[in-house]
Amino acid sequence: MRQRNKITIPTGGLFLILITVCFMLLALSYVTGFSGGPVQTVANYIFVPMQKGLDFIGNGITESTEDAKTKEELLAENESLTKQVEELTTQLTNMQLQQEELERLEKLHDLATDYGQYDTVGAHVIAKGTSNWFNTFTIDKGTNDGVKVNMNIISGSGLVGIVTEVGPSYAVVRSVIDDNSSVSSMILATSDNCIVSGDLELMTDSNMIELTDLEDPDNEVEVGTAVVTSNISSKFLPGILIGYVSELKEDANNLTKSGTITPVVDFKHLQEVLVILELKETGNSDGN
Amino acid sequence: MEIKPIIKRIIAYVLVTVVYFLLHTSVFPNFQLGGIAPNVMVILVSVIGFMRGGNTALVLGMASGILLDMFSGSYFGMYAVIYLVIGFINSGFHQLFFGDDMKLPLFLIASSDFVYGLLVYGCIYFMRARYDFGFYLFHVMIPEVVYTVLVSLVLYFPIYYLEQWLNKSDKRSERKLV
Repeated sequence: MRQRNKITIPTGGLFLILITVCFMLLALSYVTGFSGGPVQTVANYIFVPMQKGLDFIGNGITESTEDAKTKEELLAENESLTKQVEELTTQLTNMQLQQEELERLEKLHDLATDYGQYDTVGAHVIAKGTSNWFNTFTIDKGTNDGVKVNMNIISGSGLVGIVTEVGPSYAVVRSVIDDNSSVSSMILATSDNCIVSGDLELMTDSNMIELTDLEDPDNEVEVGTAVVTSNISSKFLPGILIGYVSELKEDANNLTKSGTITPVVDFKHLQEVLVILELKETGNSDGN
Repeated sequence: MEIKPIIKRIIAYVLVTVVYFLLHTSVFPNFQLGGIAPNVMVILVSVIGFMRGGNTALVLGMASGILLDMFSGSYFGMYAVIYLVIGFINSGFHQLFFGDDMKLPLFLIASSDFVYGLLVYGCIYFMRARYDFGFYLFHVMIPEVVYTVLVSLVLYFPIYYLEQWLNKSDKRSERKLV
């Protein structure tokens, strides 16, 4: 064997040293929430531009395959879309009238709903996960754009996840379908609280997430009811749609119910998301 | 002035790690089969592990792990431990490795990925009372091993030729010294 190094450390010895360092890192991150520090900043400037580029190319390829529609298809699509526009325009006028009435009544009741009025910033998904075991992804917005840890991520129709780590121009998001995720939520219709937690097994089998600890003594909650984030959640803003109840059964203790939810977001084809630039205010001084 | 071989080697490893990391996080997740993406970083750490062996395997394993930790959210240091262990195990097979045979590399990559699956299951999932080992074995671990081995049939060669090129340039500079 050629050994070029003047000082040689035996592999076993170095292994012990490095593994100790690793465990120290784990302990440090557990205690202080350390997640790379200066290394993270360096990694940010090396990887994020390249990931953005790859994402751009990837999207280009998908879009160009989608572009390849025949003229007949386009004409047919155009016709049906025109019809749809007409229908929707009438609907919209009706809705606007109702909306005005709603606003008027809300003013009377002094109730202004916040949902939909949050400041958001759009972001691209530039990398998906580091493992098949976890449902996390990276977006191309970071502290430079005002993104902070624990900010909520939504995508058009509903809740996607929460920011768990943030660098200068990237942020790591843990989605609600991740095995580690649990969200304090409530049934929209009855305001009953429950816990929504991701489960890899359930997700792989049937694309669903778990619902537990639902107290529903009067059996009011039915399949198909909307589930939203709860106002007592410590990290999630209230009233964001998560999904619809698809199964519900009584627990063995006869007090609570559990079941499954079909999420509204299509997690398999997530490309653009919105970051809500507002943290949940819970009155805790430490910001948790 | 010629670049020192050791520096050349370090630059080469950094570059190959960057490329494989991008493949791991931004390219292959777009080509998932049944919700499973191949584990490209395991291929890198395992192949460098048994080809180069020794301390390089450990440092590269740990560095790749830290890189993944930074882009993964929770438990900073978890991947560092797992990939360090994988690098260490593979460096043990350095003596057995002869370049012309694909059987040992494929076997080692497959086993490394399986060990990776077992470690993640054992450290994270088992601890959180997910006891349905059979499910995770057949739906996550084994599909990932199969896909990773298939991908490694291609991704093995860039590292193999890089390593040969580095060894050659090592010898050349040695001759100059004599």
